Amino acid sequence: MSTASRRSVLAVAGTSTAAVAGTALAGSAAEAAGLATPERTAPRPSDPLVAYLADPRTGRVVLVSGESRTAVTDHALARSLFAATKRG
Amino acid sequence: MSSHREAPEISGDPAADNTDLYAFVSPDRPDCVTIIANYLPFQNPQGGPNFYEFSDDVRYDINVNNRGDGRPDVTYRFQFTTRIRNRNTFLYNTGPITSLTSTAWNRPQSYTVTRIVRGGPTTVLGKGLLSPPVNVGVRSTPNYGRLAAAAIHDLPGGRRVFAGQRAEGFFVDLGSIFDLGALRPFNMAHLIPLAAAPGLNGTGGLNVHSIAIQVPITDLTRGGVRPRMVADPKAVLGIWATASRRTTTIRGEHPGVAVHTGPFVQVSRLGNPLFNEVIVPMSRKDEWNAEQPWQDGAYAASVAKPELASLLPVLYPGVFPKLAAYTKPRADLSAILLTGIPSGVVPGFQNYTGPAPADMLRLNVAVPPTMRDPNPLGLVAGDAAGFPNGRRVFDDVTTIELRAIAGLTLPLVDPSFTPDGAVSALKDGSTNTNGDFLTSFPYLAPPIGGYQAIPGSSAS
Repeated sequence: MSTASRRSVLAVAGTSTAAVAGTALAGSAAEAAGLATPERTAPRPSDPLVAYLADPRTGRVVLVSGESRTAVTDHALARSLFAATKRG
Repeated sequence: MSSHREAPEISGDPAADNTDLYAFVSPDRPDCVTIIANYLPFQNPQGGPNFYEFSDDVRYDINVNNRGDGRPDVTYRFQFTTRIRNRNTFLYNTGPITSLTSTAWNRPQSYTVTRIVRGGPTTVLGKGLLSPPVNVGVRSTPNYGRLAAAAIHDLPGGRRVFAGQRAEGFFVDLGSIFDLGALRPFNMAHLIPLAAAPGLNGTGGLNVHSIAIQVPITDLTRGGVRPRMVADPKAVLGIWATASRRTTTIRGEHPGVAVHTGPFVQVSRLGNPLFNEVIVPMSRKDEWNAEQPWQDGAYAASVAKPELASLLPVLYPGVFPKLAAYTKPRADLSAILLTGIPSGVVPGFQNYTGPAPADMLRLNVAVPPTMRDPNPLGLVAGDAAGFPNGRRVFDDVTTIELRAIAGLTLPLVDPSFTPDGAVSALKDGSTNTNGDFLTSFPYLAPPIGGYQAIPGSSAS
């Protein structure tokens, strides 16, 4: 994930509804079967964006907005999100 | 139940809970197939002031496979929009609802129907289609038949649709069956014996919500043909219904308003009645609900060795010795539930979709509807227009599946097996008590009114 896109993720996350889960969540069976995103439409800027840290060990972060769901592996983003949970 | 509250997770989400699925060649329009997907189980007709309704946050799909691979070739998608007309009243209606546009109806629902071909080309068949209100009672919905009739909408291409409340058409003696597999007519033979008694309809007096669509056969078949020969592979359709919700719900940002976001993911599924209910172990039921028919090979072992077939000889000592002694995989059940019945098993009939195991309600559309004295026991009673060739609203699927699991259908694939003597008499003894089925679309009886409903007893 590029720095620019990471910044935009965090920017959206900071200005709209964002949820950060610090605990590891196992990937769903549907995701494993490749079924999690049967339809993708581009999220609108006004859509809430939810980011959750699915696996702190691997840095796997899942981003959900509109009808899209994207999983990225980004240790820096994972650390930033986790650190953000301690700032509130 | 057929699929009511059949899995732990979906039991907490009735608006997304598939309960029954019917599919049959329409007796009054034999060039069309009618598919009915029911949701929202166990509706007490008196459940106001927030009566039962479809959810705006759920995507309801009816899927049809015509290539035998357990994947959707044609999907009809239903998405609902609910309005509140008067935000200053607690009432569902502020006076008699005399039409679908009555301003006295405070919470009207409308919906969009979309047809999707193999996940690609999408056609909106109808928008802003009105559902009827629920049947509140004699003062609020005084002419319910007229309201329901107005909610049957013609769609382009000879299609027809209805989405709204109906009387529960599935009948079963729930209280007895879930009390250690008891069948009241055979109480005396149970491991914990009681006096024999007539069966009771556990869904008596209850309503459901139905999505019914009637479409030309050519809307569903591979290549858009109308097969005339039962043996034609193109005559067989595999059908299932689903409900999907967004992946993520956010609560607490805006008081009393939940925000739903993310892609839709499937949370409920139904093909053959009782498949998830009786075949799939509890620990895997919600997983099954989230999967597709093409993935059902993972459950094939539970079909080949069904738990209920092992329990029957234990619960009814000495009644099923031949079933108890049968140790081979149940090829009859695998055919009925997972692949369809190949040619040569039942003379003049097949609804085989190929070797890929998939739980789908299979319908051979070249079998004409039975017009005179259709048999609710369907194919096992010689009526090839009934379950497990599709499912009509009056088919007694509980008895059919009970007898099949007890071994009635085993000789079709294993002529060396002779069923136990009791099998052909096996039944739970329940019948439909919720009003007569209709002879035309949408076939299920009108819902029971809240005022008209008679509360049950409180016997313990």
